[in-house]
Amino acid sequence: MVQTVAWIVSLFFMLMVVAVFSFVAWKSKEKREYEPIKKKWYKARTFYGITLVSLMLIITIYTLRELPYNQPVYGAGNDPTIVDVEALQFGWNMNQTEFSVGEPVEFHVTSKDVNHGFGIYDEEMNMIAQTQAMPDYTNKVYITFDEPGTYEILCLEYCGTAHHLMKTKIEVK
Amino acid sequence: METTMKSRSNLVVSYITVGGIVIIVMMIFGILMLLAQGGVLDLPAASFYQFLTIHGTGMVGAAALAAAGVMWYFLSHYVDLSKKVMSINLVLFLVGVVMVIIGVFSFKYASSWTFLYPLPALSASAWGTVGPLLYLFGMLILGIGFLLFYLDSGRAIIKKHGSLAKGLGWDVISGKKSEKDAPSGAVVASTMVTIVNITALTAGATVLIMNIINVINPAITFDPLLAKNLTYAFGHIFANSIIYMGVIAVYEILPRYTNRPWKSSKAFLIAWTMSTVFTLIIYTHHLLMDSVMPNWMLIMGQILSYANGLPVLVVTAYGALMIVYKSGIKWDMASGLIYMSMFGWVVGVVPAIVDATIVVNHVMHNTKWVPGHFHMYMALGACAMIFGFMYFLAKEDSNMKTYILDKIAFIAFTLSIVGLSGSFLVSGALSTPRRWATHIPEWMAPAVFGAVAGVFAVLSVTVFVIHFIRYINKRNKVNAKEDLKDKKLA
Amino acid sequence: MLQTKYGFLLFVLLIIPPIRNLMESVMVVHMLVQIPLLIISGWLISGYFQCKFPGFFSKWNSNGVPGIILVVFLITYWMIPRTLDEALNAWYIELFKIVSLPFLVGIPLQDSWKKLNSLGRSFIIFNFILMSGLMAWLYIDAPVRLCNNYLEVEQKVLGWGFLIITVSIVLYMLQNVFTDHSEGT
Repeated sequence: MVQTVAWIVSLFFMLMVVAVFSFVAWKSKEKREYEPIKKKWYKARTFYGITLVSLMLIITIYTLRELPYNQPVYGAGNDPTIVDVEALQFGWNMNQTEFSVGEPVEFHVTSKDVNHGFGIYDEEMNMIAQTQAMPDYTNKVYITFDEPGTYEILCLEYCGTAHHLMKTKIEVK
Repeated sequence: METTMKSRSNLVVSYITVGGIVIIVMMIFGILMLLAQGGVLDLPAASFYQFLTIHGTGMVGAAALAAAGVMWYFLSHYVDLSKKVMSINLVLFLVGVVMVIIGVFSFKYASSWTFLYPLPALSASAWGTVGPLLYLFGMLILGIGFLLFYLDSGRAIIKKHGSLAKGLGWDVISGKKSEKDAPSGAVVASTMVTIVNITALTAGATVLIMNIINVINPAITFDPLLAKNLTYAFGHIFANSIIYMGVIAVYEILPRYTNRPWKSSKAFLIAWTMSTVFTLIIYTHHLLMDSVMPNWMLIMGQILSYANGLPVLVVTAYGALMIVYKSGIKWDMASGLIYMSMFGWVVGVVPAIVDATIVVNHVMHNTKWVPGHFHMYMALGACAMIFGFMYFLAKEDSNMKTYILDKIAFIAFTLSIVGLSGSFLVSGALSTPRRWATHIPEWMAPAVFGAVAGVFAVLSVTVFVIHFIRYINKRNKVNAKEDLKDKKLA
Repeated sequence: MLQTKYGFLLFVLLIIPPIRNLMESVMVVHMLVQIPLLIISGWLISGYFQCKFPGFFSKWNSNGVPGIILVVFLITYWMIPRTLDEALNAWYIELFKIVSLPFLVGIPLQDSWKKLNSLGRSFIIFNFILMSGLMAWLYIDAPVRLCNNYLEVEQKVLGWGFLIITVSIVLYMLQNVFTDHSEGT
């Protein structure tokens, strides 16, 4: 699950930052000449900088391979179900709310009034996909449900004083 | 340094005091919101969203004001800034704040501080037209004050250094001038902030006026996607600039405590030029979930957001660590908070970079992960810089003593902000949406934890601010005595 | 004073009915040629008035601020789409335009501009960037006809005109702040 990976990666790097800052604070009581330290640290920085940039490059390339914007390639005879979604203060208009497992679905999301967010939550209330619902524009979400169950749609962009009530359910069989 | 640090600038003190007090009040609104989300407090949804609006607006505004005070204090040692403009900005700030407060609390305006078009005009009858107009005009007045402030800093930098390019040290980067004649960190950072914030405020004013027109005459409509771009360009840059103003305090204070120079090297200048460019264009990472945006812009949004971490990770924070390492630094409240602020900045960058990844953003955008990032970044980073500066000024100016309570507050502040931000991050990992007045039971525990941490945070900040106000009192007394002496002599 | 003569000549040319009608028949010319030219004519003849009534200018516009406020208000007023329409429909609005732009915008602008410090000038310039950018957006984006006398297409052209102006000023400002000024001051 993406959230877990994101959380662990963040935690790892944040703890590393804690370690480095604690180490330097702990070593700050000693007093040494600045010039030799500078020399050593500048050398280390070259190495550290290159490592960091390469790490970022690898992660960038890895994470940009598949983007949620790209329409999946559908096999012959496996045309997607297109669902028109219109968000409005404070609810959702959808022309279909029942789907089956393995069926490719495209949500074409727009809004009648203000900005909303279209977030799909699974049964454990983990978000699995989202897009913005905007007036005058149509954003798309491509998804194929793997598990049957009742999914929830939650509004994810602040849209007014009943924003938190803007929920609806969809069924996957 | 040619100019003495014993500055008597009442204006700087006023900026910091107003900022500090507003921050405390806004923290209380934050705690109330968390309590409501945690199911402890029964807060009407309308009030929750009013608190949300005032909390965001107030925090960004107050932190920006205080950070501008820090910038002004140090920059005025290098260039000739206008006191008049400084006071005009303060007056306009206060006028704007009053209008925003009236708009939000008397006229129930609650668009959150991002006021995404066309929400100000279309509230499903939750608020009329007076509230949004007060709020939007208030923000506009506030923005005009800040615009004047940065136009003045830009003018002063150009007058002293020749151009903004030279303020950023481009002539040093290109090798026309030697590194030892490079502009100081304070000037470089101020130049960067001047450039990005004038841009941000122009974008912000455009989108504010556009919303005002739409509120007055809903028949005149605009492109919502362009409005969104301008809103986030303004919001992202302006909020971001706070830490770039605050970091001036780090550049100026740490060398004094460690007796080591912090010179602008080529790497330093290149890092700041990179920050200038990236800060201007990475706001698109707020629009990653708008697939109608040109995809190359969104992909650039991810790449540049990663790259924007480099200047701080490789140059600024690294420089701070290097200057402290084995320096025999004397730790006190000021140096402690300043060092902590660099930690807060770096640690707050981590979840931001993670969330700027498009595939992650797909399931974490607009969850509480985002406030998790910026509470760490702003409270433990930017605000710690401001609080550190408060202790620094009090000590430099009036030799104020600190007590054990201040130290306890320092520890409590650090732990509580880590706890608060951590609770937000956990909520984000649990897919809890942000800006929701109520939570389902599974989401409540982190919110309650955050509220408790928030209580400790607000107590600590109160200790910081009280220390600063005690210093002002002492200083005023000394000033009064000196005035009396002058009179007698005359 | 040759400048004043040119100013008067320009003003007279602009108000000759055939030329006036021709210019006002195209929206973009009306807004972005005729109106600026009227202001310029006022700018050119301002020297004459300053010589005639030196006391008036030093008394009422000593630091340039009152003059520039008047200018900003009037320019904002003449940027509003409806005012163009009204100028075509009602003779007194047209008269107000012909009088106000040279005498209440051009002259005070010239008088104030030299009195303002660099901060005041840059504030006015940024204010103008913002207004013309907003007008560009408004005219390009508006889904409805904002003026009865002009077509929607003309409106769009005007919007692009404003956009070009905005971009030009931004580029000018950028090169201004990034090129060296140390010899000058």
